[in-house]
Amino acid sequence: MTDESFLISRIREGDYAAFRILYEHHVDPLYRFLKQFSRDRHQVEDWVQRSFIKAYESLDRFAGRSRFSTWLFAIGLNEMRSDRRKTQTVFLEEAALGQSVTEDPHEHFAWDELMRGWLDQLDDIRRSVFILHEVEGFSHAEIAQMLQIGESASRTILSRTRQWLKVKWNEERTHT
Amino acid sequence: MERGKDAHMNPEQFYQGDDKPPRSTKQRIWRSINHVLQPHRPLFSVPDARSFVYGIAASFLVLLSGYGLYHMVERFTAVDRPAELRFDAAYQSAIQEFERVLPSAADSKESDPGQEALEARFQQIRLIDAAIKELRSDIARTDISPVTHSRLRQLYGLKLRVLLEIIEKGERQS
Repeated sequence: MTDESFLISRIREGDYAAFRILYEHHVDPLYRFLKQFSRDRHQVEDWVQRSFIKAYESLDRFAGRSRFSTWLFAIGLNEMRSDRRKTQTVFLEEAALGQSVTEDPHEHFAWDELMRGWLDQLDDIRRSVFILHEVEGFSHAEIAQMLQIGESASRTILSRTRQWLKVKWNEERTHT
Repeated sequence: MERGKDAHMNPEQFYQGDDKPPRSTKQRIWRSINHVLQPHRPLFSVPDARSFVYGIAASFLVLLSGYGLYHMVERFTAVDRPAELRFDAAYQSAIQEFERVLPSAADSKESDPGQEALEARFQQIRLIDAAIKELRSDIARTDISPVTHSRLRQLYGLKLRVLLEIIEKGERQS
């Protein structure tokens, strides 16, 4: 039994202190990830808070087949998207089509501050897939579980987002 | 949180300084979570209140037991006190009574010719006191032999006699 499984079993037995430990362990990654979707600090805090409350209340439904962080991020994403859906409509033709795209492992480019600004132009799903995979290191299977999309859709979105960023990057280099 | 093996970018490179929540923010979020998950928690919950009452009752019992034990030991020690100690107490009490009247007898005739003799008696008492003190400390440490106790009683008797002489001398002169 891993440390995290042990903590979760303790929480299920009513050990609230174990929940505090789990919170301390996961709050930073979840906060910094959700912060990429809002400049409003209070809104991000609200998403994080709701995510942990829902995780605690529905911990019995966590089967333990995935990592706890995958499950928590999925809750966090749902909270964030349910709020943002009210203000914007996200339409993802790629995700809907579920086209399979082969990834090029050498398809890398230098990260810089400009790209961060370009990411802000993307919709929530694209931005989520990119950050979750490229920065947080989740697998496509985990991302698919979080966003409730197909694994191939996750691959497609990531590949197209990379291509789009690469084009932007090349344009920027030619201008400078 | 453990990072997945698929990560291509260092999170430190991607995230900015203010993306990480400060300690105060994390505490604020935790308080909000607590507020929702543990609402209306009374100052003393039922188990706490029960422990508190049991604690008070136990403290009261301990206090009563201690008081009883103290008086029981005191009574036993008073009854079974060794004869040596009772003699010791009796001598000390008598000496204290003599010493109480001593200053008036000694101070009354400071300029009399017998003053030198009186001073010699006081010097004698100081020597006896020193010897008594030494013997008492020996007894307190290790020596509880009858010979030592007998010697101590002799010194008490001697001191009493000297004190009596001083008092009588003072009374005669006044």
